[in-house]
Amino acid sequence: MKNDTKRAQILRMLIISAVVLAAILLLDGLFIQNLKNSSVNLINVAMIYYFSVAGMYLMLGLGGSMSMCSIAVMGLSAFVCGYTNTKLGWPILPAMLAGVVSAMLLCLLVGSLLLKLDGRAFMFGTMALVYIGTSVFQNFSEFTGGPNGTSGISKLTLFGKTFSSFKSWFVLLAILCYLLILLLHRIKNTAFGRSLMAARDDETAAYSLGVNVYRTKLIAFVISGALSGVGGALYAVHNGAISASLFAFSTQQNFVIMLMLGGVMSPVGALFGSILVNYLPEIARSAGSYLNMIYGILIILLMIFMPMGLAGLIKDGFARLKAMNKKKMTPAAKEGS
Amino acid sequence: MAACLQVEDIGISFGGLKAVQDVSFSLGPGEIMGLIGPNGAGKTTTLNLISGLYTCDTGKVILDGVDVTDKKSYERARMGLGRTFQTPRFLSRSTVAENMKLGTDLADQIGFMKSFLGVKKNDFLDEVDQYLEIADLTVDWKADISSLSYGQLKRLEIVRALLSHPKVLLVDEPAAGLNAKELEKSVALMRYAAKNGVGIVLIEHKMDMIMNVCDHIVVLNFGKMIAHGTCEEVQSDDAVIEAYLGR
Repeated sequence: MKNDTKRAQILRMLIISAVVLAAILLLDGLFIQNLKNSSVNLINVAMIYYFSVAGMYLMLGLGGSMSMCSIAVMGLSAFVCGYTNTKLGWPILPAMLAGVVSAMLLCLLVGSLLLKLDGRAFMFGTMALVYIGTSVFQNFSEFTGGPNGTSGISKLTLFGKTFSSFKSWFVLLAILCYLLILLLHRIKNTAFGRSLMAARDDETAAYSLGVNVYRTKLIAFVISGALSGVGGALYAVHNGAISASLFAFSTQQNFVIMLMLGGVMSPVGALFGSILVNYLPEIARSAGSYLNMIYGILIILLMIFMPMGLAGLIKDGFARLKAMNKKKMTPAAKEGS
Repeated sequence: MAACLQVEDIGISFGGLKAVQDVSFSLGPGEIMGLIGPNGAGKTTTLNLISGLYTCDTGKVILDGVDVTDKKSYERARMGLGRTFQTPRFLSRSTVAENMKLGTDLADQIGFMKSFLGVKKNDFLDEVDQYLEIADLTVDWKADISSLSYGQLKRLEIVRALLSHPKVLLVDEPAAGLNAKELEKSVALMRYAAKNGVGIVLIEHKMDMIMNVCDHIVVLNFGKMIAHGTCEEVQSDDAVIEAYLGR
């Protein structure tokens, strides 16, 4: 019986994966290939940003701790990847791996210090890391290229295919985002995920259920660092050039909006939030310098009308539909009986 | 029979107030011990000292022969010290299943990677069914925990604690807010656990329940232990009568 259930679950996942893959290929063929390069770049970068936003989901959505340093972690990974590839001559994959490992180590160090503090102190402490990061990226010229940044990062080649144009990246990034959603879903349904949620909702209950809150949040923070690290490495390789200005606090603010818009509790929502927010400048091009005002109004409206983001809105919608159907069914059922 | 829980002269002060002082008792496997006393006597503080939520200023807590006085509360929980709270504490934004699986997770105690790969030692569904039957509970696993009634939550909290396979279970006021039928089911759960060797420390104000269920009773007043004995001994103890009736 249990094996049957497991088999049914695996089959369901395979079918969903096949449908998602087909949808990605269809989207690529019918839509992405007909877009301007700049538009495809925006969508690709949104998907790369999603890795950092997913890390924030892990920390905030599951763990209840707001991490504000994703962009600094992403920046470190990008510059390590760029440095090892362009200056040390490492092949691109080991260079990307070096970026991810450095991001994880940074989170391990920062998390060890800051996660002992309460939630607000942790948030402000991580925020400070962005300012330190921006300064380091701008001033450590030998490592980062200073104001000019790092350029000439090698193209990615996988299974004989070289990802040379933005359009060639779309399918790979979309598949990676899908795998990331599966990973987050899996984490949520493990003992670790439940420990993290216990730490978020009630620390006292968590302790009484054997949860080492500090260690659990530290592991989550290192995983979120790894995700930001992957994002940073992908950004460096996707764009071929990086500069310090990208890894500033304004991008971190956008990450927060992406997460809030999509839904703090939903990895899928966060992906759509990332794409919408990153694509917004393209849609609202005529707004020009008023774009920040649009962001501000968007956040206020979100907090008032959709505190759980798009995902929460959809979930509520489904719940209402279900309730309405139940109401409609009741008289008929009564007549029947 | 070796004690599963030994408490030796534990005490704690908050500022100048001695909330609990020199409380000692011993609990054997399968025994149910009542911890009673008027409001403010220090009953919940004593449970917090045993479970490690508070650190003892004095004394020792020995769990299954191991001195756990310096252990943190999550370490004590992992060593087999389960507890429930006066007001049930659940993950307010999670489903019933996610909340209940935390009990099995504690029993399993597997690392991050094994848990990620789906390794488990205890089957949650196999085990939980028998407890739900005793507790007379039917739950929708996918429902939000907030959709359950207080009476359901009180019983589910005991079920979750039992899923963690505790050696000792500290139960704080399980009868509060329950009707007679719900209370009967909570008692059935505790009796079942005791029958399976779990030592239970029970705080309760309902004296008929205490007298019905407990093998022995510790009475506290103003943080001090004023009596310890069987139900009959405690009922006829002058200090206890004075504490309750104020004579």
